[in-house]
Amino acid sequence: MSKRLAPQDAHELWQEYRSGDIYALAKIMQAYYPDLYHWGMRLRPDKDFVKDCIQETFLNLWKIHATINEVENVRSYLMVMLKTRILRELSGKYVTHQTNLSDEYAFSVEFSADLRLIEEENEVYQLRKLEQMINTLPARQKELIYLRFYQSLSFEQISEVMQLGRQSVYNLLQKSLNSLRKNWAIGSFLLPGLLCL
Amino acid sequence: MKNYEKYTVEDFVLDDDFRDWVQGVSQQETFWLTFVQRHPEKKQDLHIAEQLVRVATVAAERLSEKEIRDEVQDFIEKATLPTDSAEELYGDSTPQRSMAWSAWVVAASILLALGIGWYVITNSDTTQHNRYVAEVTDNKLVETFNDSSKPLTIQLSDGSEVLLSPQSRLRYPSQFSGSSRTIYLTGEAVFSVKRRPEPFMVYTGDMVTKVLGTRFVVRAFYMEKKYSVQVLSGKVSVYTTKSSRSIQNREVKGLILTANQAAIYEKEAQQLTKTLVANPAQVKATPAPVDFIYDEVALPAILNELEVHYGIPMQYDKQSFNNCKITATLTNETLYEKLDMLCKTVSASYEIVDGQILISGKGCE
Repeated sequence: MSKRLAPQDAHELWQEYRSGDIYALAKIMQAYYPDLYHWGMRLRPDKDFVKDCIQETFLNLWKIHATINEVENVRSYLMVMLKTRILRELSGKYVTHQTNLSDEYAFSVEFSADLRLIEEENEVYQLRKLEQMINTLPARQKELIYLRFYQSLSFEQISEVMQLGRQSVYNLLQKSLNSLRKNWAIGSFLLPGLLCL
Repeated sequence: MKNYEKYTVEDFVLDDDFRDWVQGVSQQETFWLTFVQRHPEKKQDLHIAEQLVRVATVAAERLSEKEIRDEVQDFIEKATLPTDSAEELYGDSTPQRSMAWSAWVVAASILLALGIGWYVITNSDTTQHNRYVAEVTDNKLVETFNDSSKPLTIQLSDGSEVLLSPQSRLRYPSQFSGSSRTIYLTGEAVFSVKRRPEPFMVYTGDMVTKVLGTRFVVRAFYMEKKYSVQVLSGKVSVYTTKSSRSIQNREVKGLILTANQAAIYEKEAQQLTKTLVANPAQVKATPAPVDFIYDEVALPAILNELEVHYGIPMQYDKQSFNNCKITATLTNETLYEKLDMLCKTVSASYEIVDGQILISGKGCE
């Protein structure tokens, strides 16, 4: 995963965009395109569809630049915007409240352990096992793990993106890790640590 | 240095430097190896974090830098359409419209908005804009992107020639028709335009360069804050689409540039200013660069000759400089070097104001 735009740089670009600099918005788009595209493809694995949705999201952002507010975290804000756009397009009807939709989408993610630089056979085995178990979690729990560990979002940001309360996010993560523990007989030394998350 | 001693498993997982190390691309290999030795109590946390980083990987979607760049350019081009048609086209009022279709409608509206009789025939292949040269319409509007490292020569149907710089894109009709020759540029290109009654217009964002027949360079990379137009020969007018918006005011705020003059467009301020090219060339048709040999010649006479040869107006007080007699031989120095030399001799100075050269000094006794 390549280094992302530093949050303070994103913040500065966001200010410039709000004051009417389209090139600042273009820079934001360029910097976050891989993240947004990856995220979009999890919500709907259709390359052209996701690209179109990203275009529409940014065109709309440009249209409202004079009235849009400051945001805490640019990346998670963009992820929310993109998700809303994708779900709206998929539902085929004009819906203003995302809550109506949040159960209607299938989040698809396949975690695949990075086994490069691993020499010990036992270690490889454990990672494969963990990978299998993570992949059998329900879609919502996988989405959460994806957002937390792949996209590095904070609990606040995840609760925004997933339209859940912060406590629910926390509980859901606990639940995910618990079911991992139940299924993981071997390598149990890992579990106390996982639960401390 | 970050306070890694206090880090939890999760802090490590979310730390970029740590991830780089796990993925074997760290610059600080030794730091992490010695960190474990220095903090044995962190060993298990690091191990768990490492396993999580390894497992929480998801295959990256294949998307090249070029594809991303194309998407960003597309965005800028669509977003900088004249406001009225843009509102109507990508507004939220008709969300049910298929987006693939709407992209074509937007493409079509650029042309219609400019009153050009091209029309777009849609085609179901939506990936074609990524091709090196894409026939965007029913062989009417052609798009060329130069992703090589060398300038690319493009012949237009009117006989004009465009030298397209690397990483630049040109959209042009395969046949010019109608009352103007209009093309769209992002990036940089040198134009050699054939003289014709229909004006030749280069659109770059909100800046338009309009010519009848001449050689000039347009530079308009979307990531740069400024666009520029440099005139090599002939006459060019540059204006912005933003300034001509008011209907009552038919007067377009623009600049007329002649040889060796340049226009700088500051995108944020939407401001056009006139200046000179970095190294003015002699424009007077002569078989070879002329040597200027002077023996006790009055400064205004010399300046007058330079003015004619470079085609750049010079402003100075003739009266006070008339007594300044110069003996010099000027050969292949640049114009600015020549001016430096002349000014030094008579303790004067020069500056570039509004595409002209302004010389000031006390003069000679």
